[in-house]
Amino acid sequence: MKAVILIAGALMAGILLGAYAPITIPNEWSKYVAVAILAALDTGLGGVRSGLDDRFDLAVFASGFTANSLLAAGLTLLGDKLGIDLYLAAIVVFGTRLFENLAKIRRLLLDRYWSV
Amino acid sequence: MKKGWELPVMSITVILGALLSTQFRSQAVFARQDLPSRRSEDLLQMLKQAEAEKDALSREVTQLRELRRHPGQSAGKQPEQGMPALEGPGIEIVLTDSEKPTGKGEDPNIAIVHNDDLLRLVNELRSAGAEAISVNDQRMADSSEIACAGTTILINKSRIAPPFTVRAIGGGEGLRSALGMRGGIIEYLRFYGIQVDVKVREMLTVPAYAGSTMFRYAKPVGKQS
Repeated sequence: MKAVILIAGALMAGILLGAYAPITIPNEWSKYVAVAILAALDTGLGGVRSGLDDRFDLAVFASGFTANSLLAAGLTLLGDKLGIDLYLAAIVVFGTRLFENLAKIRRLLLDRYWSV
Repeated sequence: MKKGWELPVMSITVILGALLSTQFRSQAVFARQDLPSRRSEDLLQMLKQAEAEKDALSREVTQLRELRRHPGQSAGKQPEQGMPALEGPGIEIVLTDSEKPTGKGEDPNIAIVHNDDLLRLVNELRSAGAEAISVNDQRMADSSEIACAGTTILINKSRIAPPFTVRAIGGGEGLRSALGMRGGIIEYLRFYGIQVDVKVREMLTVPAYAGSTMFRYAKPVGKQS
């Protein structure tokens, strides 16, 4: 339970940081940022899942985040060059994985705190 | 399996939160600015709303000016500020676009009333001694423009469309003969097929000037303020 509170606090801190940082994202970049947000969300949930599962590996975690972000950004860039909305592929995949990870987290938490 | 998985996940979560709120903020800014990407129907709606608002405000301005003019100094002939509505004998000219179908190779542009035509007409009226002139209820003040704005014409920053009704207070017959002289403005306009209808009136009204009379830069010479 401590972990959940810590992570929620980190999210709040990040939101406050972004809200008061004197940066605005140019409109052309918003697609990339959207994909980056999904990559970060996916990595975060994946990390929580593996952490609750006691299978967390920092190398896998860090490399997964980097590789996923780079691939998503690369797809977006390629889509921009080709004139196709290729970033939708990244969004769909990340979206699916979000639900999968969330489902596993839910089961893990239920197993841990609810089962009789 | 390693201990301390919270810290890496937390760092990613901080990044996630920062990205989220920055993106939110930026998108909120763009949502206000993205006029070019709006649909034309929405733009039209916004334009109509803005114009209705502007009309209401300019009516209010005229009412308030009337109110300021009348109380107190109703007695005596003081020179009035601004340009109030005036009435008197004069001339009324209605200009309508040509209804002749344009032939082959003819520029359809010549068959419509342009801002230059109105400008020449107003100038002719002024040089013939007209005392007050309005075009489609826009009073011609010394700062009034007659500008081309696409399919309409801008006068006093308001868009007006044909038919154009020009009213001028002055000696009616004199004004008419000034316009109608050989090689004059009426002959010129009729040559291009524009329908010109001139009527001398015993009494006509020229509305008040509804625009701003405040100067931002100019001030009277020799006064300290």
